Amino acid sequence: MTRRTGRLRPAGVLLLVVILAAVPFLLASYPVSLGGRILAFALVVVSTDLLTGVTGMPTLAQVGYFGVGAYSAGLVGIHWTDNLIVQLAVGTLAAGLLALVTGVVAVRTAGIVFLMVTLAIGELIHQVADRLDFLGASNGLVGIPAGTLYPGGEPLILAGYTYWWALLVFLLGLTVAYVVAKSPLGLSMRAVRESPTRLRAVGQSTYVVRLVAFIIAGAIAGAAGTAWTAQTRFVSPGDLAFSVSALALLSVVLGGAGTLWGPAIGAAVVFLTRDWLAANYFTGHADLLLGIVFVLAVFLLPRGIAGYQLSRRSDPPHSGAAA
Amino acid sequence: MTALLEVVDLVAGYDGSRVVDGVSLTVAAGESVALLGRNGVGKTTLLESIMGMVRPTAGEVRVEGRDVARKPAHVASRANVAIVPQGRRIFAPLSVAEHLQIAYRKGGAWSVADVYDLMPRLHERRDHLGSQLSGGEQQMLSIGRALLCSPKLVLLDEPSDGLAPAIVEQVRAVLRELASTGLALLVVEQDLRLAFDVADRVLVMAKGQIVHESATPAFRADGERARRLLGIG
Repeated sequence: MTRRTGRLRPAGVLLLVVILAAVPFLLASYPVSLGGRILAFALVVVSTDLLTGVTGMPTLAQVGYFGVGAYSAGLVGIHWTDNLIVQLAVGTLAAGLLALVTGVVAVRTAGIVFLMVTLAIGELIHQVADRLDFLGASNGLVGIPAGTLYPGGEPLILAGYTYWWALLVFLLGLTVAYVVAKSPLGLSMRAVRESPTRLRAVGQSTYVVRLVAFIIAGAIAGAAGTAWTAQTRFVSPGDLAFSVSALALLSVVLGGAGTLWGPAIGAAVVFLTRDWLAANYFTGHADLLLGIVFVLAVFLLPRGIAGYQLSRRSDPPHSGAAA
Repeated sequence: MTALLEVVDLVAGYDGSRVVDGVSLTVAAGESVALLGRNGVGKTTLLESIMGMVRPTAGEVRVEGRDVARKPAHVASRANVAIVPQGRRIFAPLSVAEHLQIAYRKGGAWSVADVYDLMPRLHERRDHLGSQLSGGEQQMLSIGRALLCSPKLVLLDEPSDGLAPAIVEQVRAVLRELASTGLALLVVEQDLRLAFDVADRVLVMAKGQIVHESATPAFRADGERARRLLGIG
């Protein structure tokens, strides 16, 4: 039986988590901090996939909610507390609330109109960050203190510690996304992707299903933003630019829409191509490299990395009895 | 009998056309009605307008006195109307069990176990995806999904369409059993044997309007009129 999200094998998942957790012991400081940023970006991509792949709502707004989480965490760090757990809670809640306010209008639209509305939301948040002085305007938000895990605790300054915090937030966010996708709500989200009309015909309000999905995805993106801030201790409007939203969507396509874990891998491929491969070996050609990666993905992996993996594992379709 | 469904002067269509052109009809609680007519006379559009899947431009649709016209389909569904659409329209990536779970309502008249009892084949195939089912299994699933919405009225659009004769017999048996439980049915059907077997009353549509109404035995008794109305032979 072919399942779109596939079945994760517990032993495989555990092995992957152990390998990810061991990264700070195996690599130098810079690759570790790069890994932490990849995890934060991967969680934004997971939230993008929850909407795009699972619910059938291609979106360009997730990086905006990521920015809300990142800026909220930074402001909390500067003005209130350096506690990372508080920052995570505030950033997640703020992004979820903004997703609720904007989603009330956005999810009334569908298809290309929805895509354009989410582009507008993302750009609006980007412009607000770029203009408001208390957010640092175009200079970005600076002076964010290193976070702590508990009152009076040691600040997490070393790359390995902030990486582990990002890993924890990533795993939490990914787990929430999986639980939602496998829940009765997740069933309705998959059904609304297939046919809103059919879902309405069994008594469900597609508006409510889409709005709840939009809020959850926004909150997860906000959590990713707080993990970003914990590592960089600096947030720039450039982190919320349209190009980042486009990369998030590209990562979903590359990884395999609707699988959640595939887009997370897609995010790592995109991020490593841009910030490691291009930076070290093809300086100034990051966009060209990403373009080549995308073209290769379209031709070689039309269903994405996860789609390729699933098709290798799946059984042949059942022909069924004569109709 | 009390009218469960009342349709009054309903007009509906696409891009300004009047595919359904002033239809009025009633279905009583527990009654089975066959809606017959040639292809393209507006039967499917009428059912979808009642359900809210097509937005009527004029007229009223009342279910137990509650107006559901021009409201989204989930309003009609919550007013205890369910539809088994033409072509089954199942969700390809969801399993049989997931289809039933998505439609199930707590406290409703039907449970998933009831549906499996009525159609054991669905239980055997409960872990298979919609796309992996045969046409007959998809039709059973579509009926099961509708029943879990706890309807008092089920709209069925060509339930035998594209099915092998043996499967049509199974569908007929299921519909007869449903009719015997007191569920009201409004059935659009090209297979007259199935329609006559299930329905208490026959409505005939032509050019978007109801042009004939009679009890099923009376309709069957006048073969010449039936052939003329339905364009047979």
